[in-house]
Amino acid sequence: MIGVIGAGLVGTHVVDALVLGGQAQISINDTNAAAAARLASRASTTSARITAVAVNAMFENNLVVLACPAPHAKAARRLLEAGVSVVSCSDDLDDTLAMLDLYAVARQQRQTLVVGATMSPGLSGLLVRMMSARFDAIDEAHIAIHGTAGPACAQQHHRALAGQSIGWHDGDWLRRPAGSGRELCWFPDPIGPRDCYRAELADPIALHQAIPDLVRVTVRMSANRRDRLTARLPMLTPPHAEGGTGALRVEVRGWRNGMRHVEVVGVADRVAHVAGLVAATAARKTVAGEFSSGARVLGDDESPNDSLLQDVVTAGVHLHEFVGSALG
Amino acid sequence: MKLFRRLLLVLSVASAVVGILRFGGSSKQRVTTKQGGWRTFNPPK
Repeated sequence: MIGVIGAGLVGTHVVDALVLGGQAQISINDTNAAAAARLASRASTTSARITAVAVNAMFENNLVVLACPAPHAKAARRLLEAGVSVVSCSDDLDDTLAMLDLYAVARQQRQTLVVGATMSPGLSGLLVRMMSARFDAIDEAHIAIHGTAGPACAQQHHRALAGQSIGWHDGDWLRRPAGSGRELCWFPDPIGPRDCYRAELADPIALHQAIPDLVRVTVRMSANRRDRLTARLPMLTPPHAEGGTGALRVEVRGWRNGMRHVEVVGVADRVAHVAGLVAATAARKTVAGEFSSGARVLGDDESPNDSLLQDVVTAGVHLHEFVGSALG
Repeated sequence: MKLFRRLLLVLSVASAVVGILRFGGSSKQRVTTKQGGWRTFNPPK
């Protein structure tokens, strides 16, 4: 049985994706019991029994997907110690670091902890790994994201613009103020070009963990002047129920046939939809025993990256690649 | 009168700041797609 903690937007998409994937029993928990009960009643079908349960009942599952607001590290530790595998949808930097520190706990319990099973990190790691096959060697990965999932994600991104960004630069962690380093990034249609800035996001940590050969890893997030000006203040207006269409852009640089080469792929879709699909697919693969034990990030050597990406694409995420022109 | 002038000054500065934040620096118009574009692709099986 699979459990889902969090009946928000991402949690809803996780449950929907699990039901579509044929999962017969799912238990849901949320601090808002009414939201959990509503989701359970909506998602139940003749072939899938979805129940809203108390948080203690989560320990009876084989695996729990954490789709609630960060931090997840404490809950992940308790679940792992109880012999339950965990898939986390957190993209918070400190939370990701704390969960990667649970490697020994997960190994000792012979359980899997999948860290950052979202659009970024998560799908970004899968895309970098997939593109690495097109190169003789890769040494740089630059990620840009646009949009948010639910309100909790929007608040996390708001905080990310006020913190310290982290990037892997020539063998060292480079810290710069979030909101700096403007770069115009092209996302797949209908998003198009957006100004993107450094932000306190977990992708460099996850990608460095997944592919240690990378020499430079950066992540940027789209923002406008108002976002940057108000980043250090509380959110002036409540976030939207859903952030709408978001996008992910992954640029990989390396060597091919003795020359520098650059490839860019992207996705434009609702962020919660993509995150839910990635988390649900990772959960199914973990239950099927395709992940080895320990703390894992998507894209690392010991994860079923190709089949995971294939399943995510089959479930309806459309990938795009940027095709340049010599005419410039 | 002095108060009125100050009020006008504050309002004009505030509207200028709001105008710059709302409309200034929009780069959409200046970017063309002549340098390439996106096409759908499927990952190799």
